[in-house]
Amino acid sequence: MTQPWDERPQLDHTEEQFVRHLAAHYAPKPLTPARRMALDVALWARLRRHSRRTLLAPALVPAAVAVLVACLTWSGLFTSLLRQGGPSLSVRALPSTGQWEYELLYPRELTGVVERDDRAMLPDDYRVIAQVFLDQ
Amino acid sequence: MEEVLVQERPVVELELEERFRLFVASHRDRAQRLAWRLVGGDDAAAEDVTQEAFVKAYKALGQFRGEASLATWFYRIVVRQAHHYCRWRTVRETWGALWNGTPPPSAALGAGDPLLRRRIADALAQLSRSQREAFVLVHLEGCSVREAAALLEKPEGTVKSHLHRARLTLRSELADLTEDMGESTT
Repeated sequence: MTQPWDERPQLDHTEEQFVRHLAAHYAPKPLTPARRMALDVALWARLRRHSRRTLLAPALVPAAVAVLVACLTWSGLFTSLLRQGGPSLSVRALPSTGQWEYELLYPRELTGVVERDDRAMLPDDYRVIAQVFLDQ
Repeated sequence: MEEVLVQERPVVELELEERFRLFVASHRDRAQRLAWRLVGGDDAAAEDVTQEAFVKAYKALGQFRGEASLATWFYRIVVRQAHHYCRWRTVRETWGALWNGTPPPSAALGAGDPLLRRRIADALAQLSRSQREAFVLVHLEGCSVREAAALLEKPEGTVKSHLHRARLTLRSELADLTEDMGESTT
């Protein structure tokens, strides 16, 4: 890796000798050809396993999602079958529209107040029209 | 057109595999030696670290952006992997000592004098992580300061400072060794 223009630390003679001494005595035994081959075999076995997993990985995600969806669907069907004895469709009804809706459509005075008949106050022309349209 | 694409993929994969095989063949020994020196002279640990580094490099080949050379990128993985191994070894040893009461024997197999090797390994273990990595890369593996800085992702000045401190500490720890060397040369 070292290039000719690369910088090396400048050491004095004693330091240089010390460092060389360490480098010479602190080194592993060279790999034998048999050991090298064993390491290669182990390494490529691992890399092959990794390659197989990598090839399978894209297919695993959709498969897992499909299995999950199927499980959820089936579990939902089974629970409805157990509860009702068979599959059924139901539309949830709106809350009961009773009095409150009527009150909204036909507002009236507070309870207990007698409704007044204002027709007597109307002019004659209006009264005629009111009779025609309100069927009175 | 589809058939051509389907046929091309295995060829590319095979070529990639072949190239990686060549890369492994040309860097295996050096990676193993570097790992051995970084993990404190343990053969089995060095093999584990080297293999793991090759596997990680193979998996991450797609992420290689070419900002550094492939070799620099790979040795960076080796250095990180060695650090990772040492960290977990410390945890394992601590827990092992707590549970079993006895620390596991430390391995220092290699060429030459085993006692001297053990002493050097212990002295290197006294250094900080950055100092140890810088010292091993530059003084034991023969990298330049620039290469070590690229591998360790640190400025060159910082690496020089680590080297200076590492040499001071090691010379103090192995002072008798320096004296022996002086006697042998005179």
